[in-house]
Amino acid sequence: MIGQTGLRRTSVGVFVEHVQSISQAIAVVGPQLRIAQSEIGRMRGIIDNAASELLISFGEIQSAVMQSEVAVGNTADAAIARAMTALQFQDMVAQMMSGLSQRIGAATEMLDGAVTSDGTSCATFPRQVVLQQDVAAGDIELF
Amino acid sequence: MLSILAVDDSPSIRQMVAFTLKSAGYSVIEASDGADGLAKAKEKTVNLVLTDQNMPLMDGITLVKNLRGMPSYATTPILILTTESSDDMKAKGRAAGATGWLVKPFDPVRLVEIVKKVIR
Repeated sequence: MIGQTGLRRTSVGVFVEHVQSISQAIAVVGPQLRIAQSEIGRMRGIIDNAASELLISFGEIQSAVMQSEVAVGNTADAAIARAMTALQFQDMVAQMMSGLSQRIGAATEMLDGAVTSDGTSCATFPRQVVLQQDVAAGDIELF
Repeated sequence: MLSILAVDDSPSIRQMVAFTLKSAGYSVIEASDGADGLAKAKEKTVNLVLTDQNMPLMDGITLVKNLRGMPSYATTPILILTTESSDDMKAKGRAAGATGWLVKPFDPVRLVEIVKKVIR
């Protein structure tokens, strides 16, 4: 049988083990979050670069279509307009990645703070600014 | 030629807006954020301002408020083109004096239609 003192010692032991395992988890998760943040930055760079190249190409195609003496009809114009609308995925994704990166940064700050301070944190999480689900053209409202 | 000030911190969106409006026969001045937009609006009075909302240094709604405080921009159409679609943000834009709210992504054909409708 375990007496009152023994029970207290066991509880304290379990608590200490929990704290140690949380600290170990934080030590592993923190660096992983920093890697994720860095990868988001690189993904954004690749997407920006690809979108910029595509934009230049579509611009050249549209200029060629406009200058062409051969009638290509409304189909080409409509296709280019659709492509220009869809290409704006880059702007939306860039904003979402920026928000995600800030969120991870704030979470990392909180984890660092949880190990070193009294548990309070001045980390601030960003507001969600992109709620779109697809690249369909958005609403227009004139006041 | 009627001139339009296009303000956006995204170079690709600025390129797309400029290309679309230039193809429709407008002269386009580009600015990379609200503060840059305000400086360029002071340099040359334009016929319409098209601005993003979320930008570094100065956001779109603050730019609208600043422009509405200038006599030369008291009645100039100002459109906000943004990914933001909440009623709360739209109400703030309207209160600041914006002429309209366009949610990204924009359709180039519809953008030209709206510009033609409101530009002076």
